[in-house]
Amino acid sequence: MRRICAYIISILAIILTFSQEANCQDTLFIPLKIHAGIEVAGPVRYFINKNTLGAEGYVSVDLNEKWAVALNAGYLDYQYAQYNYSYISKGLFVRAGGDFNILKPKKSLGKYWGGLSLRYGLSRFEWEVPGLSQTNYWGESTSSIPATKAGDILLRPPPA
Amino acid sequence: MRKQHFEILFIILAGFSLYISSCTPGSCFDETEARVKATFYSYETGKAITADSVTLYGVNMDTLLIYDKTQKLKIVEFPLFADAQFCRFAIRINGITDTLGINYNSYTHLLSKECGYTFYFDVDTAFHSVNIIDSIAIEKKTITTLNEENMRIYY
Repeated sequence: MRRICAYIISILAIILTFSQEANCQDTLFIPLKIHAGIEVAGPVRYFINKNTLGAEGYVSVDLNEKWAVALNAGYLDYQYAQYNYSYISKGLFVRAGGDFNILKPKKSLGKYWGGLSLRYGLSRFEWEVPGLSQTNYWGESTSSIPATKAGDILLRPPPA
Repeated sequence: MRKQHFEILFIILAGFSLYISSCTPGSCFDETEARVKATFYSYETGKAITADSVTLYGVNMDTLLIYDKTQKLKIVEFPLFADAQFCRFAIRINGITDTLGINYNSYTHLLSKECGYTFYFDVDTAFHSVNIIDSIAIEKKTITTLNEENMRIYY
């Protein structure tokens, strides 16, 4: 009688052990992270083409294994010159939104990402035409447009 | 091995990024100068007519002709000077010369990135001598690069 009792207890212990192991295999631990980065294409482009300088930074915070909130902020300086005019535009911008990882947690493992992003952007740009000219029968006419904030209404003078 | 894959992927992405962001300056195929387009009309019938011979030049610029005895002309185009507010022309229609003046205001207008800026005009008044020209009617005061009738010259 004493021996039988000891045997039953042993079986229960084995069953409990297997049960706990099975639970561990189905549970994935995905650490929630804060991601930060900078855009490298902008500075690389600037070394090739000095007309465009773009710098942008990025921060995102994982809310869970699928969703993250993100914020991008940057600066853009663009210059363009064509045969009869030159154009400058520069300013700051921010983009805020979310990233949705469509990879299943088993695939992503908290390391891989493939999915959809949604951003809402705001910017404050200023543009200017330092010089423009046109030559016709009467000769050369020159003008310029002073620095103007994008969104400002540029009114031309009414006919006299 | 894994690091090597990452480097190759990075180079491909950087190259693709440069490829899609690169651009070459385009060419301009549009009209870039706004001129006053005037059509000839018969003051007797009120119908559009063709001038047998037209010579046109700016006053005090008679060595540089805009039209030189051009025949069978339906539309004559007057170039304006953006740095001034009036231009005066001498126009010889069928051998008879008149002076024609235009008062206007100019302003800049962006045609396109490729074609750049040009000057548009708002015509205020037009005046003329009365040798062959009977009267002038301004049809459209805003002078653009569009092909539209701005003025009618009745003679």
